[in-house]
Amino acid sequence: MRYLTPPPGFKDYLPKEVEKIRLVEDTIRKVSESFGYREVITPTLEYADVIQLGTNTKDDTILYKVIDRDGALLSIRPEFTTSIARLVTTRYKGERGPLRFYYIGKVFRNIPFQPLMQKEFTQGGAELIGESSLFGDIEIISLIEEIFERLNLPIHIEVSHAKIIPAIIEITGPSILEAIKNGDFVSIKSYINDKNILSFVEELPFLSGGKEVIKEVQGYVKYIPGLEEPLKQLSTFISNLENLGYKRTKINLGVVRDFEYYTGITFEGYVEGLGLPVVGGGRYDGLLERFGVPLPATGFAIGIERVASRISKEESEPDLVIGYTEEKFREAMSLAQEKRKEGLKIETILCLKEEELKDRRGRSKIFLC
Amino acid sequence: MLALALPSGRMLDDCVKLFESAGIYFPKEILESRRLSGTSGDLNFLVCKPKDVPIYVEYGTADIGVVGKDVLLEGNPQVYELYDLGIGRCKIVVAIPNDAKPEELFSKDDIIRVATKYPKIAREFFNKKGISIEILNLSGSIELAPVTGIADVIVDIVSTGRTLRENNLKVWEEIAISSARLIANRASLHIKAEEIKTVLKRLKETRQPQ
Repeated sequence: MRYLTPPPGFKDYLPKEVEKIRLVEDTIRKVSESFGYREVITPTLEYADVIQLGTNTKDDTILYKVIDRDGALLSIRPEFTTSIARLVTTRYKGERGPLRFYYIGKVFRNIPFQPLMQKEFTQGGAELIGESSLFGDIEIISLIEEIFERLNLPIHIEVSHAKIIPAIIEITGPSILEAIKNGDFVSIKSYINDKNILSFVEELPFLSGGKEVIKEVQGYVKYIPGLEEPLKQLSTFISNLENLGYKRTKINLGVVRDFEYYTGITFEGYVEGLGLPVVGGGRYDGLLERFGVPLPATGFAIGIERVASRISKEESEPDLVIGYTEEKFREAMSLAQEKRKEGLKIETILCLKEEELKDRRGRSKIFLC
Repeated sequence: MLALALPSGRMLDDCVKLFESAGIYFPKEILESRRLSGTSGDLNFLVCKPKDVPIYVEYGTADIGVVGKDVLLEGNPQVYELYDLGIGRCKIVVAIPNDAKPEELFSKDDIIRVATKYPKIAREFFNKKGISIEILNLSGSIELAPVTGIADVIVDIVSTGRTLRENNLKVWEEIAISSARLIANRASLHIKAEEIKTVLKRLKETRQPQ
């Protein structure tokens, strides 16, 4: 035995934190169901090939891997989207959708340890499969806004489009990709010769706001023709959301999502006081095709512990604490039984004196002696 | 209100000058006492070890920060790198003893031992070159290592080259050029975009592009 504490990147959650986590989960569950989504549970372990095919990442060091009895290489899921894509292509073969699924569960990533970045954490999210129109993307954002509205936590959702970076790369070549992914807007300069493209790329992290942002950058379309379609989509998208009264979502062309499978609208959400995104997602129309079923799809995932760390909730306590002496055991138990039937939370404690109850948590206390 | 993390030591003086010429004034308590934090105008200033600046920014305790590119290359933090402030210029180099012949040094059968404060940068550089090395992770006075024979070569930053010369070392190859960068927390850049833009604009107007 090395240590009694959990390994770095893993942690114990005590009741106070668990209550917040469950509140976030319940909210995701209720809101998703109110939009017609139904819950699925996928296995914790998948064939490593499946995960690899889904995430298509060259760097598989973040995957935890185990060998099965038959020698097959399995991987613990680092996210759910790939598993749900696999599930749909096998269990809903021939369906054209739309299918609406949500999930809540643990994911595992073998990342270098840093505080705030747990190796094991809970994701809750929804996937809308078989809906190719922008209305699908709008539904997903509405769903997220409703969840955070109900949690009373102001969310800032930043929307971009997965085709913007490829449009730039088409002109500049792939050398800028690494810098953009790292958020390095300084060394990008050395890769770009064209002044117009450079000024667009340099502005990227600051191109945020409502519809007006699209107008602001429209002039660049003549230098980067690939921008036309994504900008058109973003414009329609943001106008629709504004009309529906969803006010927490802005365009931000600087958002670059890590996952390679995105093909359309992508987004990240932030809350005050936390330097990392609490929700992310987007459209991934090519992913299901990798598993042999060409269905469009869009979805999101919320980092549940991160959200839980930002909400305030009073810790729950028993409605009634019953202290009893040995002689009063029966009386105490039948009182407790009766009260529990009324739906109250009752804790019973064997003690000698009433003072022993003094420091116990409880809305009210009685002592039977 | 924005929180700004700044590196202590040599670079802090350059920061004070640069920010003052941009009309951003440091709080008195930082300039005149040993206080590590203070407020001036709409900015909360935090002074920490250069290596720790990206940590404060990554976790959002500071919204923006000033840090050398060398620190960013070594740590690869998840932050936005917004602007080259031009101060704190130096080079990250491989230096070898004056009397050493590189072709002999790097072709010998033994594994080369590299003393450095930048193990990641050093490892990546030699990996790319296909040279097998062993890292000796020191925290300062790296130039001492080849002199004493504890290491064969060093990877370190140089600005004037004086320390190298006075310890009988010479530059073999440059790995990268470093200077101070303005970095931003990912969430802050979204939530406090306007405030960050204002600071950036002032700094950009001050500094002549090179």
